[in-house]
This record gives sequence, C-alpha cells and structure tokens, in this order.
Amino acid sequence: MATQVTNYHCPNCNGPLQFDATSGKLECEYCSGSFSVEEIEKLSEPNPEATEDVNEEWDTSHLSFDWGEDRDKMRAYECPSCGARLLCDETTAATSCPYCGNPAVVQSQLQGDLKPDYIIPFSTTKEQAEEALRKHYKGKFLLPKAFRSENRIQEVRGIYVPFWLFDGKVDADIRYRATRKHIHRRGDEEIIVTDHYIVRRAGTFAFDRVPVDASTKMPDNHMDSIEPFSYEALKDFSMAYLPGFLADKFDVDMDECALRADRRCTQSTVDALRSTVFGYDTCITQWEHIRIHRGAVHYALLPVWMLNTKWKDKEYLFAMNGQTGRLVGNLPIHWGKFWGLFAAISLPLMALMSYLLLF
Amino acid sequence: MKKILSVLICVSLCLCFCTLPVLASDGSESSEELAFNIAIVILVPLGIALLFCMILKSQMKTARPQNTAHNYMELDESHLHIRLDLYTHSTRVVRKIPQNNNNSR
Repeated sequence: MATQVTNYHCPNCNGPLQFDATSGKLECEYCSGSFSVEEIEKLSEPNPEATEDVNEEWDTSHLSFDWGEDRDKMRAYECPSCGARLLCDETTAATSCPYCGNPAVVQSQLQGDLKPDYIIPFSTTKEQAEEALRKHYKGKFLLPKAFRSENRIQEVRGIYVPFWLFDGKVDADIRYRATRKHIHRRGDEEIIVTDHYIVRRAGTFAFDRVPVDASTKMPDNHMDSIEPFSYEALKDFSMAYLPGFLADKFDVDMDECALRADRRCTQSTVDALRSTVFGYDTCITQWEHIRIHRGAVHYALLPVWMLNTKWKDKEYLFAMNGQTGRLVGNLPIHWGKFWGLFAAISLPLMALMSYLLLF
Repeated sequence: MKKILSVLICVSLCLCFCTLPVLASDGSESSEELAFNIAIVILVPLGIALLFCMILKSQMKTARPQNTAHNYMELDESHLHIRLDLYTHSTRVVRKIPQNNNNSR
C-alpha cells in the first residue's frame, strides 16, 4: 500500500511515483513499475536531452612554422589551374599538377608554411600501385570489357597528403527503452508478454590520432576509404623522406576538419555503447548526452599513390594507401550486363517457382 | 556468355508463359490465393535477382565516406561508468489463434 507521495516521476510513463513502505521501493500506479530509491536517483540526475557539447580548444602548442635548416632545401610549386600548392625537396621537380594534370606548374616561395609533426614514409612502389589497379579490375562482372582493354593509366604520382590527426575523449550517457517478448500458447489463445526495461549506459572513450585529410583537392571519400594507416610507422618529419615525391600543403584548417573528426568519434562512441545493450527484442534511444573533450592536434603527411585513368572522356581517379597498399576508386558500370544478369536470374527462378507451385 | 544468357532468358520466358496461365486456370484455388501465388512467383525472384545485382554493383564503388573512428579507439583508456538494466513493467496481449478450416488443397 502506498504510504508516502514523492516528487519523483516514473522513468517509463512519467506518472507520479509513490513510496511503498512494505517493499521499500518507489512504485508507479499507472504502469506498475517498481524502482529502488538508488535507481531512481541515478536516473533523475540532470541530463539534457540529445545534447552534444564541445567546449574545449585543441592543444596546438607543439605546432611550428619553424623549418630550421630544412627551409633552404625545400621547393614550393603552385598550380595556376586548380590552386594546388605542392612542396618537394630540391632534388624533385614538379612537372605537372598531380590533381588536375596541368603541365604549367610554377615555382613559388616557401613562406608561412606549417611544418609537419609527423610523416609516414612510402612502403609501396609505383609498380605495386599499377599492379594493385589491375587486380582491382579483376572479378568485376559489371565492369565494361572495353574499360579494361582501352583505358590506360595516365599518371601515377606518389603524394604525401596533409592530414590533421586529432586526439580526444568522448563522454557519453545514453538511455534506451528496451523490450523483451515472450510468446506462449494456452488452448486456442496466444499470449504475448512484453517486458519493458529502461537501459542506461554511460562511459568514456578515448581516441588516438583520428585522421582527416586537409586538402580540398583530395576527394574525402577516397581518403577515408584508404584508411587505416598504421601509426607504428609514424616518424618525426624529416626532409629525408621527400625525394621523389610531392607533398601537398594543407588548405583546410583544423577547425573545419575537427567537425568531421568529432562526428566520427561521436558515432563510434554511440555504436560502442549500443553494442553493450543486448538480449532485447527492441531497443530505442530515449535520450543521449555526449560531451567531446578535445586533446592535441597533429599535422602529418601520409603517403598516397594517385592513379588517373581516362575512358570515354571521363576521368577515373584511384587512390592507394602508400603504406598498406589498399586501393580504392569507383569503376564504371555496364548497365546492359546489369539488366541482362537481372533477367537471367529472375526469369529462371520465376519458371522454377511456377512449377513448384503447380505440382 | 551473352549467348548462354540469351538462351537462358528465352527458355525461362517460355516456361513462365506456359506455367502462369495453367496456374491461373486451376479452378481449385480462390482468387486471393491465386493472386498471392502469382505475386510470390513474380516478386520473390525479382527480389533475389535485384539483391544479387546490387551486391555486384556495390563492388564497383569502393570510395565511401567513413562515419566512425573505431580503428582509432584506445581500448585501454575507454570504459563504462554506468551499466544499468532496469525492469519497469510488463504488458500482456492475448489473441485468439485463427482456426485453419481451409482443406481445399
């Protein structure tokens, strides 16, 4: 019997909770929910609904514009066509723009450029990149035959692509509504009992050097897809790794890139918490509170092979991770083959199913 | 390859045109049942074929945005503070099991 009215509300139906002296629990008259005081106090902690806080600045104290003696050994090039700004050592000459193919790149002054913190050296060769592209074509039924035979690799360039690497932590507190269903039979009746639960998960997740490419010329999808890079091979930046390769200069600032890193870390945190909720038939997020703690940000050059091909006046761009050899790029589709295969699968199946139903 | 596919499609079309009218003229079934059977004969193969073709199509596109950062999560420094599973109440639905008196087939 209820003996004392409290100001607490039922986490399930929001009805008033009453303290039951016999059970020592808070009970809801509306949905028959029963909760211990500790549980309700835990659930009643102030939590704004579906919020995401980012209130800290990135730690950029170690970023430096001072190239030291390396400044004299650097060359800078600019592409007047697409605006790409490329860096290389004095022994490497840029003869054309690796992004737009414009052959009229011009030498410019190295000034005001941020010195990278880290670099991952290339560990794959140009030949391996070409071989990887040929392998990429294999086993693709929908690839036009003519694409394989007619298209030629126009250019293969090894480029050190600028990336911002973000450290950070995400605090998340998420509450779900979950149900578990039991079905049993009694005579000619089916009884469905649904147990309702409030599930709460809160935790802190740390992220180490989440990469976001800092070049507008590099398609984000390509750069995202060639991940991950192994940071075991990460070295302090040195000019010694540059000969024979071009290095792009960042043209997307860290604040803009940070938004992408924040989104990725937040999604991973939400997924990680959700993966700890199991054994239920349904689970719906009721509210979530996410707080991002920003850590250090690093500027790094990561190795990428860029392969350009042209077919039917259309450019196809492929990118290969210069460290792991992972190659990505979108291929054209032969729509005749697509619909032919569609008919070749569906029609015999239709005939087969007609026969099965008939006999 | 093209010839094999063409022959396969032609044979299947012939079979479909032969069997579907027979299926439709079988007077032992109600019109709802007949419509359901024809829908299954047509829709299920179309669904399977579309699924298979879309899997092949997805292989042609490998450059996709990454929405997560699982690869960079530091498991040593990540932990749960609260893990609470709280039963609130149960709901109960009782329904009659429909008796199947259809012995037409």
